[in-house]
Amino acid sequence: MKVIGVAGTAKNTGKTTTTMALIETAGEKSIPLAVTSIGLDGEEFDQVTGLPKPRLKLPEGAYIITAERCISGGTARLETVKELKAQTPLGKLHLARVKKEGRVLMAGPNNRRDLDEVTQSLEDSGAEILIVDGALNRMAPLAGTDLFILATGAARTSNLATLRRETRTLVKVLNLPQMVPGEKTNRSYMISETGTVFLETDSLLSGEKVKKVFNGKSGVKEINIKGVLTGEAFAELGKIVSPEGCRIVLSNPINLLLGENLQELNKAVDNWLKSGGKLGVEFGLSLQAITINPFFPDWQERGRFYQPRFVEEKDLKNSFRSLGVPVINVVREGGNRLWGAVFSEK
Amino acid sequence: MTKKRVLLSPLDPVHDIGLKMIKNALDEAGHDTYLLPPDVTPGEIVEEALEKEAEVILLSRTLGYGVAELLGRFVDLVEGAGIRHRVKIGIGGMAIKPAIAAELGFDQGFGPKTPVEEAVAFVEGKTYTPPREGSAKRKGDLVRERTYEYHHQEIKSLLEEISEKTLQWYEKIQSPGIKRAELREKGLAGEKEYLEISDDSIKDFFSDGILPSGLRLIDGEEQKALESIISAGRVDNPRILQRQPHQPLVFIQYGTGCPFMDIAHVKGTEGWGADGVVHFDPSWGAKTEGLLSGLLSHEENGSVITDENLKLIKKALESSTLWQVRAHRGLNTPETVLLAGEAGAELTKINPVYGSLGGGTDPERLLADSIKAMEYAARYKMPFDMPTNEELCGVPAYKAFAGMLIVTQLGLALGAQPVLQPLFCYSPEMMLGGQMEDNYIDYNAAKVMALRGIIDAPIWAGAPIGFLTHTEERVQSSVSTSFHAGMAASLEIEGISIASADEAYSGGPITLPARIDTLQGTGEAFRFLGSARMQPTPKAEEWAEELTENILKVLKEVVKNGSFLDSLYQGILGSQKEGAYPGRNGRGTVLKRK
Repeated sequence: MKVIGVAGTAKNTGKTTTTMALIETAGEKSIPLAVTSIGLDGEEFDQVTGLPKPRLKLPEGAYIITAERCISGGTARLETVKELKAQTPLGKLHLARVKKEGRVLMAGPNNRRDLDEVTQSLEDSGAEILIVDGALNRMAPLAGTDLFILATGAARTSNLATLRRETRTLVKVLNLPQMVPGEKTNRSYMISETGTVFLETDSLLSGEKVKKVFNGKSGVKEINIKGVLTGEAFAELGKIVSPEGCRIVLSNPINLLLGENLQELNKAVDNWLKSGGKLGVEFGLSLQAITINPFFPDWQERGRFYQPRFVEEKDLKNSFRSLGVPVINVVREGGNRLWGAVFSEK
Repeated sequence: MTKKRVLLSPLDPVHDIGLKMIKNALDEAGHDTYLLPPDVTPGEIVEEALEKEAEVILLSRTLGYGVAELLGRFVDLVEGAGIRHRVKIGIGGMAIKPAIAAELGFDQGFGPKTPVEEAVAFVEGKTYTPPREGSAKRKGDLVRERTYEYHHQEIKSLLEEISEKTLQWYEKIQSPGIKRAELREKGLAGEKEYLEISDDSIKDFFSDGILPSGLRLIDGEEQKALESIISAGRVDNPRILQRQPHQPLVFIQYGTGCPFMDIAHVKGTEGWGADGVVHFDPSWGAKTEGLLSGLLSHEENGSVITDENLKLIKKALESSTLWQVRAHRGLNTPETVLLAGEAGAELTKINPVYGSLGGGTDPERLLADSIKAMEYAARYKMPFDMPTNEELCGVPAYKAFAGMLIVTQLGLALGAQPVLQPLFCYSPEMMLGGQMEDNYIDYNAAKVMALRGIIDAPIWAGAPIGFLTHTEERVQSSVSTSFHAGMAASLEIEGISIASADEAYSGGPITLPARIDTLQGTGEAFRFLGSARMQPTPKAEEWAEELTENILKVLKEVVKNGSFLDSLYQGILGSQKEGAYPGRNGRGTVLKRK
């Protein structure tokens, strides 16, 4: 079974529309599937903006992994196959089968370990694909998925130049090459001329922390970070450790995207690479496609409500040229084009 | 209990009071807590969590666009840092609810007014169980500790004289209403003898199954659906409106005609704090000799009184809810009280004075039937209130009160528990006399003071409070109810009936949200006042004395007349000039007992 992760860069970037396009296309191709979400999907109105949301409809026979309180939240008739251990704010997760097609309400595993439980629970189900709909800008639980789709668009920012710059950074990071670490261990470490030293922390979240850990270190050949490396920490690392002849190996690319400032991260990555450093990941992601959405909710201070708005579609598409990844507007171009991109060999 | 290390971070400096309260509770429970200052970044929180080896992180933040992404990134950061599997994360704040927490990737969401105990249970990995129904809310007692002792001896002896004579009269008479009730007691309702003294519409139903227009039987499938609604619609933790023991029980009235709608309104209002519900029957029911049978739906206002309908409603009620079935104005008064008692009602409503002077039933017939009904009320230990709605026709309060006090004494003589029901209203008397030109407090307070000066009996103001002060504007109507409720609490009366915010001008069926408006308003009034009181001006006492003097005068007139019944016809308790017209329904049906 292939696990497909649909991550977004913000709310309203089109994750559910992308998920729905995959569900429909799988239906056309008679491919048995299962669906879940790392957040909440299928509700009529957005919990934050109050604007209408795309609904999730599942065909008869499909599997869904959703919280107990969502089982009877749609028009589809669901039958629980198994109750899982994972707990959510809306109750325990259930693996259920759609007995009668219809709309569903879906709140699934909120972390990677629970997503692993979900995947295992489907082992004997016959489902050939599991689609995991993302939530907001959250990506971390999707780090272990087999095929990765990034949904972005004007809801992230309606400034298309910024959107392009950010997306380039994301593509660069998500496509980082795989590297075999120098040591087989679960802890973060550093290899220098004097040998291997375990780091006092698995995550480098600030410049201050980097200073504390790396000040005075020389001849560093490999830094292996199992946790998060933020842009700010990376920038500081580039100042303290000489990139020349040194490689940084992260557990997965998403752990490099969890800081606050993508621009700072981009600069730090470029500087590191330009200065002869190497950067890679132990477990890579397979970024198969980017889906784009011209819609954005525009906050009206006067009246205090969100107004639905759109950027020019042509301009949006243009700003995503030559990224090296298929860029698709699923509403215009259809699910088949997306399906082709997702399941193509790279 | 295993001690937990808990990191608390108010991402929103304005709304960190909840977090501080949780911290105190966690400290008290023996956990290690670390409260961070408000101006920290998600990265800094995670660094602290790593350093302190936190097992639980609790954040508080008001939601807005962009904030969701900030919180989502925080959860991702915890996951990326590799500690998500051993750290539980909770979020609290103004707009937070479980669905939002699920969307954000948190393990639990705490909205406004979340009990601190719920957050502590989350930290300790326990299931939070809100206080169960019945343990938190108990059924109210309207009669409480009232002694029924008279404070005004002259009035007492006048009432006893009137009551005695009236009961002597009652011993010698019989009416179709009384007879039907006695037949029902023998299990003969709907049988030949019963139908002989019933109207044609009742005969047609029992003989040929023909229902009066606008009525239909609920079929088997609908009945099943109703049963399942009832079993699914339990109110787990009904709200308690009162903050102090002296604050009155709050009643709402239902009677949409449709059992589904009635149950929806009852369940909704129970959840929002109603202590009791009052069953309203259709107005034609009061003019019809005999009662129908079966589970019936009525397409107009008023829910039909049948054994089955009442028992269904009873099934739907929470154990903490008081239930009143009205029987105060029609030709089936004794039977209705009997049915109510059998169905498990706690309260009923009987007042031959209002029922005959403002309700359309012949005084002789209604007096006879009401006395029988009071006997049933005593047998089933159902206190009955006496609405003085004739005041709305234009009858002065003192006359309405004189009538009510006579009925009170009749009830006491029969072993029942009467409940005084003065109106808290802007009545025609007030409009003409100007007693409410300055405020609504003084005259309403005067009524309660006068009654309390006469007898130590329970008082249930109605019905509903603020009658004729509501407008088509819902906020205004809710506020008016709220102030009247505050006044009732200040006067330490036992009960109030409240209207919905759209009752006076709904232009159609009353809506549940409008009922909740006034329940909320009442709760706010009780919260606002607590042990404090609204203070009437000295005018209230002056008017109370005036009312008592006038009540005394009326009672003397009744005694002088020699007959309570004749006094009703003669206008002593409300004249035609004042708007009181002795009713005609059932006239001539009272016969001498064989």
